[in-house]
Amino acid sequence: MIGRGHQAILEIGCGSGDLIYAIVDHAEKIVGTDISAKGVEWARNRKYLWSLSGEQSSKIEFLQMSAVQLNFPDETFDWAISTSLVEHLHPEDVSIHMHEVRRILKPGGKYLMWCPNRLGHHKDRDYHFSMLSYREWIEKLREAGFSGFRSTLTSRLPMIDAGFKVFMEQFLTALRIKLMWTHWGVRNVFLVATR
Amino acid sequence: MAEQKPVHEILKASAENRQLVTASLYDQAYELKLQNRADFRSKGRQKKLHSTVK
Repeated sequence: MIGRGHQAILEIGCGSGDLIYAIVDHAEKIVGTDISAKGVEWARNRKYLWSLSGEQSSKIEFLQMSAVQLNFPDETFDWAISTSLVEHLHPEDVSIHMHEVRRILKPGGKYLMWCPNRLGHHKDRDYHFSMLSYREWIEKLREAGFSGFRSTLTSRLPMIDAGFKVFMEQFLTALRIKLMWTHWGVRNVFLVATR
Repeated sequence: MAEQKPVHEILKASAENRQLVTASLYDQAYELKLQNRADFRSKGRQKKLHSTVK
């Protein structure tokens, strides 16, 4: 989906850093950030688990950084990725984060985000402060200046207009259907937005 | 009264302090996670050793 040949990709809230290592060949520069210094240290230390060449290793950088203050110049990255990050943001920080991501993306750059869906029958988690639905996340992204919202048809490819997921979450909620949310790919939110 | 967990400090923190508080709590969470992993592996090794000795 992300494809290869990009100049720079950023993962925000990279945790173990495994995604960074996995997509090392997709760009000339791959940067992972995490708010925790321990997390960044952990990600760096997991390098030994991946058989990387010297060239691959030189592309990767891990930095301690808040998701609401991305210390990069404007229009630096082709893609920004966050998995299981945005639900951890303080509600007041969500909009700031979205604007920051838009700022560091190149025109036409993409923001891929994955998080639990508020409507997706998740039990409350201690660290989840911003649980929103597909419709609500799209609204937040739109307010920050993103457009062209895409998602997967079900839980897998192909990519389609994310409006279908909004319809599905509302349809399943209205009918009080609690089954099949995972199969329809609406238990969690998977969105690709374009700057 | 609801139990106050350390994570609620993030919600209580002022906007200026929020990122510092968050970083500190996630440092602790990662440390705990890594410690649990190390303990799990250590127990696994002990079990394996024990079964070999038997």
